Amino acid sequence: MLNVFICEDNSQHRDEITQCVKNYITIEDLPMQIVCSTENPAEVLRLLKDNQASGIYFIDIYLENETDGIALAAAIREHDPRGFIVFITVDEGSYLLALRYKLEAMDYIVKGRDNLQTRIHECLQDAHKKYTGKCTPLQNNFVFAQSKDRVISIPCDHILYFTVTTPHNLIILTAAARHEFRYTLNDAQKRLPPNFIRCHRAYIVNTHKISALHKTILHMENGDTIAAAKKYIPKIKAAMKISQEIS
Amino acid sequence: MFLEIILMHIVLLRLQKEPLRGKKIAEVLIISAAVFIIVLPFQFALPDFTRVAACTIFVLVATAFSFAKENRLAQSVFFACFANMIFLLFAQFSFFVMACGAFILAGEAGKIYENQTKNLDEITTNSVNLFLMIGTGITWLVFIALLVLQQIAPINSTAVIFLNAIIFAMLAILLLVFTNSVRGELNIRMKDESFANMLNYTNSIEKMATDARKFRHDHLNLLHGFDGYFAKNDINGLFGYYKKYANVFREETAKIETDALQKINPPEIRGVIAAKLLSADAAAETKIHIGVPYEFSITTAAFDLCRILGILLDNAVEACEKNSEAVLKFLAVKKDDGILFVIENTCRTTPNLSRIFKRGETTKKDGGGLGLYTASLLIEANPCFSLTTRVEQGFFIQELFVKEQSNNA
Repeated sequence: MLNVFICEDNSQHRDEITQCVKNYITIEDLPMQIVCSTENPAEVLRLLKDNQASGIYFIDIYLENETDGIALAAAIREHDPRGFIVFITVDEGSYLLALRYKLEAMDYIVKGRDNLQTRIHECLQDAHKKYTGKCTPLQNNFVFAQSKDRVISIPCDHILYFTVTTPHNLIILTAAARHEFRYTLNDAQKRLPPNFIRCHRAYIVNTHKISALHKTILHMENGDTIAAAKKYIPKIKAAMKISQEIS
Repeated sequence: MFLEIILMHIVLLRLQKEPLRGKKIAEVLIISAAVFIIVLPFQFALPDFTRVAACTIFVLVATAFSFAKENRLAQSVFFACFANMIFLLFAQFSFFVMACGAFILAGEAGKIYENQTKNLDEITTNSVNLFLMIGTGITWLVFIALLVLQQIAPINSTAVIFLNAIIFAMLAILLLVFTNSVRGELNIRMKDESFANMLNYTNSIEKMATDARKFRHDHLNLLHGFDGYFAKNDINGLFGYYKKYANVFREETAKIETDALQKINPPEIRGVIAAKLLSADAAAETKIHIGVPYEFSITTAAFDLCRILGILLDNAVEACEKNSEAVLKFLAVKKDDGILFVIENTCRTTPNLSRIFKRGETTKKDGGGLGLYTASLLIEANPCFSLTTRVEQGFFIQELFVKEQSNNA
């Protein structure tokens, strides 16, 4: 169950957002509830203290209060490090862009520019997908922490393959991203589901993402080719067969 | 002799900082046994001279292979043979000790090169490699000459030891001197680069100051123009005049705000960022956003960071030049244990993310394809960097995270 918090000082806007969230939850039948809709950040913090579940927070950045939206978001991060924060603001400045990274906010909605309703729907849908993704074992994520407050989580389904350039420099490739950081293939292998197979000294492939196999060359879905070692070929073939049967 | 080969091997592995675990020990034993079996017949069956020649050829092949492929196995064979040869031919323990000493020296020097050459560009790396190869070649030649000499005219063994000692000492000194010179060159290069960056930055700021002066001048002229219309009481004329100039001034004032960059320290990093962003601003109709919400200072691997940021920004700026409605965003955010730099630029096509980091790959017509390759080498060499490259909603996004390393850790 996800808890929705709304903190906005303009009462008209607040009602609009609350109504929008309420409607969407009812229509889509999402496991969410609005816990509070307020203009007072202290209220949000008070409720957070005795709240165990993760939450979605819609926060206006410019609050007419001692604690502004940014301070509130920082406080929320301390209580609920994996919660989803959505900023609502009147202007889109570079400052805001940077804050999004600083506080790992999920999204921000610009009043007037964006269609409030569709954006809120998108945020709720996205949060729901990510939240349920965290719980079900099949759709597990590969998670690594770059810093205490920066954790990158990649759904295993998106990963094409892992490779290393030196034994400690791991590269993860998905269709739309490439991550390079300090890690080893052996440690990565331990945390992956069985459809990931070591096919070479320097590669682990997602067998679901192989489009073709020619002798010992694997063709991945994004057009990359990987040379596999001969001894792993039967194992890869077997895994590919299973994945085809499933699909 | 077998034991001696194993010993040599272990010394070698320690030099390479490889942990000695079960699998490694087995590997060592197998290789040593193989070398032993290969060399053994030579020792008994053949006359001395042939033995030397055979060994030499074998070792040379192994050397060539190890240099060409950077293959650890070939290197191991090479060193094992080398040690074995010395021992076989002179059968003197002092040589063995000396050889070990020389190897340790050479290994240390090699490690220093490795660390330093990662920072140098292609050409210098090649010259270092060439030097190493020539050095090895000369040493070999001298060795063989000595051996042959001894076969033809047997010299007093103390004289041979003495000569060898001199050769090793010379080699060691040469290596040390060369290392120092490489280091010196690198320092000069670093200073040059940061100086050039600062110069760029200063130039850009001067240009901005000139622009500001020009703007003020124009502004005054504009006000005088108003005076004229007011004096004539010509409202329509005034309106047309205002419309004509308002747009010009709006454009002039829409320049990027570089003052956000003041929060970035040390100045050489600020210099790189400012210079690249200002060049983008001057070159094309690129909209630039800069976001640096908090002041920070980063000392970890500052020189490498400059280079990586330079490469990433260059790429972003170039991508924007081709595009008429380009947007470039630069963000620097302080996180708990490091700094996150984010560079975003609009992109029309989706590049192949694994390919663009390979050497020689480029999306430009006349580009060398070295930029991102160099960046990935630098990231690989420094454990504090991690890079995420994404394509999202028409933006090409590079997120470089630099983990801050405290000095006392």
